[in-house]
Amino acid sequence: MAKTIKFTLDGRVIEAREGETVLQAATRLGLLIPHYCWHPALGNPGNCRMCNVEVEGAPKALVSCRLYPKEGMVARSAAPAPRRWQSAALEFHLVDHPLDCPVCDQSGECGLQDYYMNSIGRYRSSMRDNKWHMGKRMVLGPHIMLDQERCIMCTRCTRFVDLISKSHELGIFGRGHSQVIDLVPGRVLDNPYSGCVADVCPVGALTDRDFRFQVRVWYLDWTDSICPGCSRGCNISAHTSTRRPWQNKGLRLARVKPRYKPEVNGHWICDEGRYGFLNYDSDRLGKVMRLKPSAEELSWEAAAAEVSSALRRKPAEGLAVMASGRLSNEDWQAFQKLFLEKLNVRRFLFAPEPDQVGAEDELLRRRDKAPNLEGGKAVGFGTRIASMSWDSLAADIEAGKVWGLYAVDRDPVKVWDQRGHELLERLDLLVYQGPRKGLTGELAHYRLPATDWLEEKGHFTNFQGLVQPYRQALKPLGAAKPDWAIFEGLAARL
Amino acid sequence: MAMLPFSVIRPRQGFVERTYLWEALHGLIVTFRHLFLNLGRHLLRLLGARVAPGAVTIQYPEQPAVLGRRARARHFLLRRADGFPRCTSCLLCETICPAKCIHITAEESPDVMVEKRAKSFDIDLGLCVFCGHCVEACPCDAIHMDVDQVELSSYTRSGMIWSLPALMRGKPQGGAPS
Amino acid sequence: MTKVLTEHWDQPRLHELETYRRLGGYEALKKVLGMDRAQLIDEAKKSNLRGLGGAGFATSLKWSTVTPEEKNPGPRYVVVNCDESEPGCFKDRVLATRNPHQLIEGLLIAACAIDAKQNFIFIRGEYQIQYEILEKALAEARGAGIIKPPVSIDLMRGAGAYMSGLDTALLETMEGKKAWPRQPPPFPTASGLMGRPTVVNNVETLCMVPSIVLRGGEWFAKLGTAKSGGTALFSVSGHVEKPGVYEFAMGTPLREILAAAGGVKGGRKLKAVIPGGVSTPVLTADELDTPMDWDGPRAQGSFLGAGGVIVLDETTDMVMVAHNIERFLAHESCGQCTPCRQGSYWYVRILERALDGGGVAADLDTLRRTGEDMTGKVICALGDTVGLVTRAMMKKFSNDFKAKFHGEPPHG
Repeated sequence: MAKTIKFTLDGRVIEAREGETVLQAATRLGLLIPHYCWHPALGNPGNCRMCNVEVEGAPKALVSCRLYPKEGMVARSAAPAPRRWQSAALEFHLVDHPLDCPVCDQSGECGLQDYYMNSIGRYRSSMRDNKWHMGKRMVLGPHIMLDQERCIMCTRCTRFVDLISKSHELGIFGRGHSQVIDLVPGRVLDNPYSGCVADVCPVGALTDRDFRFQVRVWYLDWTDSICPGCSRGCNISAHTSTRRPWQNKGLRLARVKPRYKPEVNGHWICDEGRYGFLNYDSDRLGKVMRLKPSAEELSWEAAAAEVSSALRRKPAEGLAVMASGRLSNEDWQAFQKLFLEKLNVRRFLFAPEPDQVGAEDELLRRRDKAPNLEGGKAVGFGTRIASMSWDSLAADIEAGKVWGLYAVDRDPVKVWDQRGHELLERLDLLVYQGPRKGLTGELAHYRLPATDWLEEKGHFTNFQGLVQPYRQALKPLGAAKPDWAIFEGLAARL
Repeated sequence: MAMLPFSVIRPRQGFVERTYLWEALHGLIVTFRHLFLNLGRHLLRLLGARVAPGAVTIQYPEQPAVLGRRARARHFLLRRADGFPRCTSCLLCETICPAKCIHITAEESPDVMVEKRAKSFDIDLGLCVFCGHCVEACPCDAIHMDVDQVELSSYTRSGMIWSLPALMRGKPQGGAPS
Repeated sequence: MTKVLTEHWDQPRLHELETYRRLGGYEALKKVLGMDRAQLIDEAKKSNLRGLGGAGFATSLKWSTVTPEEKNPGPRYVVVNCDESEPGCFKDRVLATRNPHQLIEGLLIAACAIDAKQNFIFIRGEYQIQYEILEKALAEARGAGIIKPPVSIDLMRGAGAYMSGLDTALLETMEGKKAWPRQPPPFPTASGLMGRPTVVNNVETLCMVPSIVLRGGEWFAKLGTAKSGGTALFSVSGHVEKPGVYEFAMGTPLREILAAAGGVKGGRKLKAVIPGGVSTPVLTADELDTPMDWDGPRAQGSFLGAGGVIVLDETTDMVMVAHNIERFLAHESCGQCTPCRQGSYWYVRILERALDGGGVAADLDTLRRTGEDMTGKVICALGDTVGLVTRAMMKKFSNDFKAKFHGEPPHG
């Protein structure tokens, strides 16, 4: 067993692990000592001087982020003296901080507000002089905006771009009180993880341009979820705005923030995942439709009856099914039962190429942009059953070998372009199931609305084989149902 | 504390008191005294004599309503020196409103020192409970409720929703401006 | 009195190798090459030599903390701190100008003490002339085989920051980074330049070393007081008749130093003396009997510092002095830690407003409290100093401050 060091903090005996500072040990155990500049992934520069503690036997205040406990040490953070030091440090942070709370997006989740309102604010200000002014509303890159006046110089952002994204776009310029954070000359803050600097910034100095002025954070609901942007399955928190529907332009998904998971994504998510789903509410399907021969809205029972009999009309050999790694584990189970067991389909296309692959790097991003191909492997798709290629499927359709196509959340017209229209016209049956209409939705015979990932609960298995749950954050739109429910509904009639 | 026993002595009621006839008569005397006194005062005032008014009834709407100094009536959005509303769209009033009748959306302000302003500011006066919390919550002194305009009715529910231009108008008008 | 550093200052061309040698230069170095490390450090210990850059840390202790090569193989460095930026101190400048070879000899001896091969002299960028003099002296020493491989001495120039006079910030600058102090542990003697054991010594400290080696540590210690050995250079400036650098034994009363500099200029009355450079708390005219060594000024709430004696006469307004010093400190604040970065400039604004006539009584409480909030809660001594300097002036010259901070604030 690893060696632990016992010490006392505010009367409570704590066991610190070897190499842990007092602040790290306290935070791990849920005891909050106020701090800004320390971040578990970005080191402890000890420049904010907030985390002062009183140690018996020590002559002066010590910063707990750089204090390694000794056996039997007695420390205090919540006693009158250290609280005075902490509130003094907070006062210094606020001396030149602009009174921007009404216009600042960080309001409600601001490090300065949090400590000020919760016991260590000095409510009577002694500052009579003019504040020092610096740059405001500075665009640093496609996603991040900087306000130099609000900055508290904790250096978390510069440490992030130096240590994590290793892109070095930010620097500290000048000296003393006129010191500012700014872009290194000639650079733009456009690394693939640029959104993370707004996460680490404790105040409203670095903010999200996409989120700017959309909705107040106290109107948001947080739901634990998994990013469906690639096979890493980064743990996220989906922040939804449904309490005041006129805010955030009426869109339900306000923003996506990372959740800490050391084995998968640490403290971070990439910009593709963070900003890739802000159009979540667009182009959505909500009605169960038969479009050909005559357009008519159906009930689920009627649609299930029609589609199930249409699927049995001709031999299963000529039926092709298109799916992707966007299906959850539950979806894959039902998918396999319906298409393999009940219908005996032979032709499956689920490989991510070419519309679900993209850039990969050493940090988080994976080439496979579908979250759950592993889930398919668990029921044989990718192991026993190989995926067709788009070209071979196109050839089969042209040769007349395929009469029916069931597309689940995949857009063949997007991949096949103009040729796609012509190919799909040849089919006797085109069933399109998915959350969005896309380019193919217009052409289907039957269009079944499915929920997207935030409107259902399920599990994704990531590339490491880790099964991760995601919870439901939003209500389904219209008549939409989860994919597995639609599959089960059809299977019941076969 | 110890409870000490003590006796409550109720006066014995006489026959007249028990039958309540005297109390009923006494009440009628009070009522008719008010009636004739006030009627008399009204008549005298009609004839020009300077006596105290007979009742506190105001003949509204010929006479305007007299509101207390701190009365909360319709909302009024104040302007800055440059003519734009003071409101920075912080949403504190919307948050604190117990009736959830304030709907605000924000946009960028061209003035970099201000940064944020209201794109739309709607108050549904049909839902408003006139508590005045919005006035207290505002950090910019951008909203008041001291215009003393109480004629706020409309023929439609949507007519009760006042938007930014209407809220900035100071002079009371008949009916709800659109 | 025995002069250790200024002994030969009246000799023309002292800065040239030939003159220096003629007067006994580099004999100490020869002697050291025959001593072992322990002997040398012991001699330094006996001498009671303490760091004359202002910290007063025992030089022998610093040298002995460096683990020997056998236990910690790899490079170790001696870095000379010639980044003299404390206002009121100019002794290192004069030493580098007059007697560069004495510094080189001291440096080489220190290098022997810790087995250092590569050594540096970090000189502030503004000392252009001194840089050229040192370059020439180093070339002479190399030419004469005094500095021979593997030992080397390189000059490095500063870029104008007061903070790079602090040892850990100096090392950061040498490594090409911002002059932000580090937070020991580890100390530079354990992990300094490029993570290797490094001794950072002041110019004056190293200049004392050859004499100690030649005449013995005990001789040096006896020149001074019980805990402060030898002599020290005092840079006297301000309202005096003869400003300049004066050498006195440790423990000499301030009165004597002032007299040697000719007393207050124009025969005016003395008001205040800043004993060790602007970072040291001020002394009044009644405190002239303070013995100037490492412990003496503490009784009056001040310290020796780097011996920059600034004399102020009766026409001085102490609020102006406070403002001047705080403005310097705020300008030089490195900005790393929040209390100093924000607090130092807050002081400047308050004092400036007072000088413009807008000072109120509540500001005095703010100054006092803010100073307390900073001292001891910052990364380096500059932050501590911001509060200490003005507090001492407020305490000892309260009338000046009461005159400038009067009236009621505009709203409660």
